[in-house]
Amino acid sequence: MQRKMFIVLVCAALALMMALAGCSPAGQSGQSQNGSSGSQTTQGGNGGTPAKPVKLTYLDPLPSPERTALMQDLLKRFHDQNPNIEVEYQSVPWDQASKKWLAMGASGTLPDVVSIDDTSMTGLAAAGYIENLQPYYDKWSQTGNLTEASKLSRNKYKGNVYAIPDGFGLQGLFVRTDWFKELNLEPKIETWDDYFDLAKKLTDPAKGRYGISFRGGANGILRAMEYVVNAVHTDSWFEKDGKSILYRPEAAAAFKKFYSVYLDGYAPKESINWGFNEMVQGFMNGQAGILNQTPEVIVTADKNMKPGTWTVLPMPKASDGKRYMTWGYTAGYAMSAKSQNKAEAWKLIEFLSSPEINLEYCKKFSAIPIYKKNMDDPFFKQGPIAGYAASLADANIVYSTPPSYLTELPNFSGTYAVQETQKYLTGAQSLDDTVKHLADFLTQAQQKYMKENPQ
Amino acid sequence: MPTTSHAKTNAGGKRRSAALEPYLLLAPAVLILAAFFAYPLLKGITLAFYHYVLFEPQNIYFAGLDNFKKIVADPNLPLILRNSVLWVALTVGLQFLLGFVLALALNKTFRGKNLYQSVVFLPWAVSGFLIGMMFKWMFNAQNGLINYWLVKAGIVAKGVPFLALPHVSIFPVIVAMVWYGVPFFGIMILAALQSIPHDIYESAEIDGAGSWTKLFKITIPYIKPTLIVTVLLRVIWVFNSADLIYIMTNGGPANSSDNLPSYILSQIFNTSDFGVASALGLLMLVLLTVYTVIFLYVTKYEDAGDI
Repeated sequence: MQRKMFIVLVCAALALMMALAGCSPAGQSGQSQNGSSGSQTTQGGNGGTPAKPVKLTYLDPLPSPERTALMQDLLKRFHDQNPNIEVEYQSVPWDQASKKWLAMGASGTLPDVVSIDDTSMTGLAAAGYIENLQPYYDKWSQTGNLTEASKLSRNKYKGNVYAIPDGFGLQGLFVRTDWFKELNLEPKIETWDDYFDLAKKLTDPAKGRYGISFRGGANGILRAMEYVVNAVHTDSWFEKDGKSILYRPEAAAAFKKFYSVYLDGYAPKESINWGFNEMVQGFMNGQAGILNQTPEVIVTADKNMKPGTWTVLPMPKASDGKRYMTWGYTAGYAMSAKSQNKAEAWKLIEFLSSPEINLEYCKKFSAIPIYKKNMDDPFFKQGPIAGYAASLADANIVYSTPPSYLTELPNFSGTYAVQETQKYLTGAQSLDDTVKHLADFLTQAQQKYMKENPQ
Repeated sequence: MPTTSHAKTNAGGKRRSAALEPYLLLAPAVLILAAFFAYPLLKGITLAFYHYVLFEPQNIYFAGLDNFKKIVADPNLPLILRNSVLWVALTVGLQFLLGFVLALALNKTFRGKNLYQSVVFLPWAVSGFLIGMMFKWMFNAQNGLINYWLVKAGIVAKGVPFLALPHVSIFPVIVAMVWYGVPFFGIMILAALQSIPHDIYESAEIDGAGSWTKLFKITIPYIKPTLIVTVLLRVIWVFNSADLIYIMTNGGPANSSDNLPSYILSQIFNTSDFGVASALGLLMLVLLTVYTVIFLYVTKYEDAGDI
């Protein structure tokens, strides 16, 4: 009988455990956890002097041997400066990062400090998963030292700052200088017409050489739209009434011109499926002469290509002499709205965003710094990175960005536009239908957004 | 014995707890199944009837059949279902055929058999991602091994971009999948073959049976239960598998190499619409259940005996 009682107890305990385990995601998202620990937060944060030990967690979406080592080192240096704050490093592979943030946000388990990209920032801010940093930003001693580009960047939601950029990436054109030399061409791409002209000149199918490392897969549409806004001289994908600019005949013509690079055979046939990795490989293994990419590729190119065979050129200018372009961050620092140690979390963000750390970080990962002073560092005046810095230093620059505030954008650039443009490129759908479908999708999303967020 | 004397005074209680005992013993297993299997399953089924987009946490509501209407209206669906059938039929068919031949070949003794056997079973142990990368590289138009041979042999003048051609790009993935799965059939069928007693073959030979007669009258009937179960499992497995497609073509170009699970994956990945994705998942569940019932009925599994 005693044994039976024991079994009953064990089973009851087990049942309770299972029930708790099963319910935990729902339970955690409730307010009980947050409420009970809220008081503790303010004590630990504002008190400061008694230096209560605090444990923070940082989530890195771009783990790589080099980056992980640097980030862990930075966290250690932060801990040395603030012995009472310990920071645990966590990482998630980039491909799963955006899903992970949302899932963690929904379950209330987002780490105190998270590195996020500017596209996901809007969604996370809108859902209330990340903290409004405006109050901290206003009091921050470094706010005045930031570059214009940092201030204009997409780190705001409804006018409030939600993330501090880590450094900027922007598009630049990697070119095979040795191919240019063979053809007696100067490695220079001034205008978009030069770009299309060179795409043709560099192509030599007999040698297996093509002009452009084309991106037909995920996010390829962003490159097409980049050309479209330059061709029609606008900073937005939309008209004032929320209609897509693709309805304009000249925009449709620009769309056609952009994709003619593939249809006319100036890009490898397989590039219809290419995403980031494939297009970078396509350039490095000698299939393509021009690659439109961001600065983090410099490190890979340095490692895999002979010096003197390549460089980076600033993006071409539109026919009005301006560059319509975007500059974004991929790992800006944001704070979880559910963080129990917000003051300490801001301290960590402040540390990671300080001018010295920012310079060290940007040099290491070929990003464009967020501080004016850091831009004057000789490192950003020479070599491939100068191709990027020069664009941001030019006065004739217009900030033109994909509509990252639309929650439909990842679906558009990752799935819908891929299917539509691939139908066009394989001849399964006409140009007019393709452009119309894309314009309809964007217009619907934009007008819905405008209705929900009246200006 | 304190227990027995105690029990005697309370016979009714004893009977009740004795009746309860099996359930208590089953409880841990049932609870684990409920927590990790039944709950997610039910949650998935209910999600299929909800508007549930991860980006809109304030906007979750019961949507009735909206998600299913969206699926039916999806112009890609017929193509995806056709691809799924092609994918399963070709992959499992070829895997079965080649695996059977492999098992028959390995059921004889020859020099170096052990070494040979471990080499041909190797693909089974390789990670799907690695296999995807390998075959993607082999089918490359510029530097791929297969195109190199085709050009050398004079069959084509210039590398064919297999993975970039609509309605062709699924076949290289099927080739990779067949290569991946042959050892599974090989191992299962070989194990079954080794359980057939030799004296049956001997008496058949005395009766004058040839190799074909022996294969169709003895071998296949004998291992039929194994064949049914492996084909059944394999179909479900292959139907559910998306990894090679994801790596080699990502469903492209224009969905022409997507099967149902890889399509669901891209739906979840980019739309965060868990409602529609769950509805697609439910569709998959129903298709597989119907398939299993029909398959077991047609093959008369009940009559085939135990394995």
